[in-house]
Amino acid sequence: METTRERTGATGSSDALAGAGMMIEALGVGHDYRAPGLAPTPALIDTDLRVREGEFVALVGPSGCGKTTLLNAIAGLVMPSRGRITLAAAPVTGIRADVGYMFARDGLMPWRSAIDNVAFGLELRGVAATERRERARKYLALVGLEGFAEHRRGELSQGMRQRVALARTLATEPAVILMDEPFAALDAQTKVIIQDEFLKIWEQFRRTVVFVTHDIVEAVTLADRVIVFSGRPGRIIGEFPVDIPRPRTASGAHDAAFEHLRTEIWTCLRQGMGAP
Amino acid sequence: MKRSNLIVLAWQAAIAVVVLGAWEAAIRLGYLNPFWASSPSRIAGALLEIVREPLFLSHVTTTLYELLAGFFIGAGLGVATGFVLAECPLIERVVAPYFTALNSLPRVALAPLFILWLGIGPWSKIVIAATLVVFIIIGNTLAAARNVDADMLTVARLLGARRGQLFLKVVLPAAAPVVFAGLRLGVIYAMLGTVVGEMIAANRGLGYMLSFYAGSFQVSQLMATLVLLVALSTALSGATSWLERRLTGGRRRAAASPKTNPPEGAKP
Amino acid sequence: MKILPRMLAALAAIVLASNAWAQAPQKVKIHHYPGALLSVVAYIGVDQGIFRKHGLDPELVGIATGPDALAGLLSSGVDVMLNSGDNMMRALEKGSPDMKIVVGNSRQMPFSVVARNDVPIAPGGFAPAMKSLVGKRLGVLQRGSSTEMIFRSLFIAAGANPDQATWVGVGGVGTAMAPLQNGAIDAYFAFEPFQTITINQSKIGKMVVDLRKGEVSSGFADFPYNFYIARGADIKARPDLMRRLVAAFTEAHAFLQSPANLDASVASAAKYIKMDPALLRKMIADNVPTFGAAVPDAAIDKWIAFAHGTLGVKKEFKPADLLAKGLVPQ
Repeated sequence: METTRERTGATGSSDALAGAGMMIEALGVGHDYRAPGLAPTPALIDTDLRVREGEFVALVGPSGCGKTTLLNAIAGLVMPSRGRITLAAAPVTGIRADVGYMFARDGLMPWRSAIDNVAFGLELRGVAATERRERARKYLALVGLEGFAEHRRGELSQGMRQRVALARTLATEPAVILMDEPFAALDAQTKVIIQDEFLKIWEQFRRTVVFVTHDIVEAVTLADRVIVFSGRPGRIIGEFPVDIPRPRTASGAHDAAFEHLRTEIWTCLRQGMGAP
Repeated sequence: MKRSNLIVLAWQAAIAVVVLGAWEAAIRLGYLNPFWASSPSRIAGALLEIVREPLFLSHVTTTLYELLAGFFIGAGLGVATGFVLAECPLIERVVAPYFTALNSLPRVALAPLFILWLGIGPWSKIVIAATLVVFIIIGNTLAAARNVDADMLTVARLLGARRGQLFLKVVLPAAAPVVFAGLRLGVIYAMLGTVVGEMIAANRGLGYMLSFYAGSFQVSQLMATLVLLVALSTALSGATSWLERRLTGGRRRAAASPKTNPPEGAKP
Repeated sequence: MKILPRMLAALAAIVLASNAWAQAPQKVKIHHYPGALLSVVAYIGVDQGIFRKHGLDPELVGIATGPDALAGLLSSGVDVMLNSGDNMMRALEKGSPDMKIVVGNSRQMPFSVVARNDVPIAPGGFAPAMKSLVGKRLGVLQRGSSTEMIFRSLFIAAGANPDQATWVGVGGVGTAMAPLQNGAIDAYFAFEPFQTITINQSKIGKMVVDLRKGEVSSGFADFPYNFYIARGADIKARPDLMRRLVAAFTEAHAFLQSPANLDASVASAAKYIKMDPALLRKMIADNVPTFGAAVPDAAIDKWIAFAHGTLGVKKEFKPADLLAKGLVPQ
């Protein structure tokens, strides 16, 4: 169902040009979920997504609506059944060096110190040890963990681990950062604190971000634009620009505009879930 | 910490004293006939006797040599094969039923066959030990490699790790603790294979000694030889643990579970 | 009138006798060395129905080596075992439960050293022959058993060091031939039918030293080597069974000794000893004099002296320690 705010731009045409400044362009993307022995079921249907360079886009929707599938397709982890995706004017055919990805679990290697975890991406690219440790140290400082460079995973709290993961994602200085509910496993207070810090960091670098979440408040707090998916099989059913001025904060009170937007998004979401 | 260590040690010593004391008392008071299992004092005496025998050192070094050679060959092959099978699932699927069949074969029963093929010199024992070790290590290594945390692998892949990098930088260090646990077990099996082979047919070795003492009813000497074997096995197991700590300890301190109190002043 | 008491006595005797036959035969587990000539008396006793005749239901239990047979006796796996004097003495001096000889078997040492044909053996008698075996792989019945101990003492008697050879336990006649043939061992401390089969039948081996012919010294051959032995406790608890057992064995011995029974003896043996029939007949005929049921004190004294002096048995046993007095034929 359409909402009062029109869908911007998308025509569904698969031969639309890559517009100026479009960092990511996903056209006609659909994906079928294949369980062994069963007929394939569509998880995502005919989705178009355009993200400008430097834009922060949030994808919200119920579980199983295909938002993570879309994210993984952009990352090159999954080849979608239908449609094509272009990133930085090059088609996505696999995992890309200019894309960073962060998810809810930190995936830190327990036998390496925090700084060696952060430097891992640089290490894989062949950056020399001294240089990569220096850069890793810089990003650790950015996330506020400068004193914990030699700490191991077991010595860090959950919030700290996610920060290390964030530093790791940023350390390779990707053009695009994809995030799949990165703060979902944190408790409510830690979550807010980290959102605040993440906002500060992002506002420094202004990288393109596609951020998947269940949390509407989080989406409105962080993003420039919130895109709403329906339930399975997922398709985009709403798009909401967030006009709240930056710099923003996650810990402050929410004004009327914020609440209004939140309610609109929530209504759209509920409709998409097939609620009466 | 030190105090609880002392308490543990004290209890362990107490158990040893009680068990050995009861055994010795039972023999001296006539409740047990030493013919069947000897007594701690007699075994101690027999230990002194057998280490003084002229060929004793030759027997010990033979067993040690066969055991270590068998272990390293079996472990080397086993670890390499385990990792290869983990990396190539197709090969693993093809090989799996043969592996299971060979694994369930009581390979100790093949010992006489190996002696027939390789004679009664050290090589038959080395091969017996190696075949016992290799299957355990393959199974263990394969499981270790497969159970590497999927998140770590995903993160590495997303950071652009190629296959070789994934293996060397993620799979290998992640699997190391389990692989070492398997190696400790492998040492024990290498000893088993070596001793059984020596008992069947050999010209030197602790198993060769065991066989002789058993046939001539020298139970004290038999038990003393067993004590030596246990000591040897324990020492080797400890050496493996030490090696593990040396190779990975410097890089790995805390376990994966988080501590409850992160450092003061730290942001969450 | 005197006839009536006589008739009554005769009737009573017949009734009592028939009662004895009508009693269920007592089960007894008799050890044998599978396929060995040493056990021929037992084979005759079973096959010719002699045990049955004495009210016994025999079960032959095969155990290939002396120490294992001893373990079998002590664990009640068998009721009577055939074993050497020194195996018995070694166990007794270490504190094993009591055992006693109930009837004899071999009147001399039944062993020969047999080597594979290609093993070089120096001529000139016992000592050079033994020295040829230094550094070789030597097969014995079981490590640490009587066969190894005696074989070692041969080296010492010849002035050589037994530790310079390799000792391998290869079991009895059934399992020792393959190792000799394929080279796992170079020589074997053999007892019949091993010598006859390897030297005369398959012709893979040659005689090195024959203890039966006194080729070492008189001290090595002229005393009874092995006996049928039972648990001391059993002898006390089941005297009737033991008496019947001894009587049956004695009769089986007598059967073997009688030349008229040679064909029957060979036929009985052939069921347990697998070899060329003509060679079997010759082997049995040649070895009949080596068997005997009696174990006189003087004979066992010699064994005790030899075991104490040459085989490393520490305790000085007396005949009464080893013999079931009143039971064993002397």
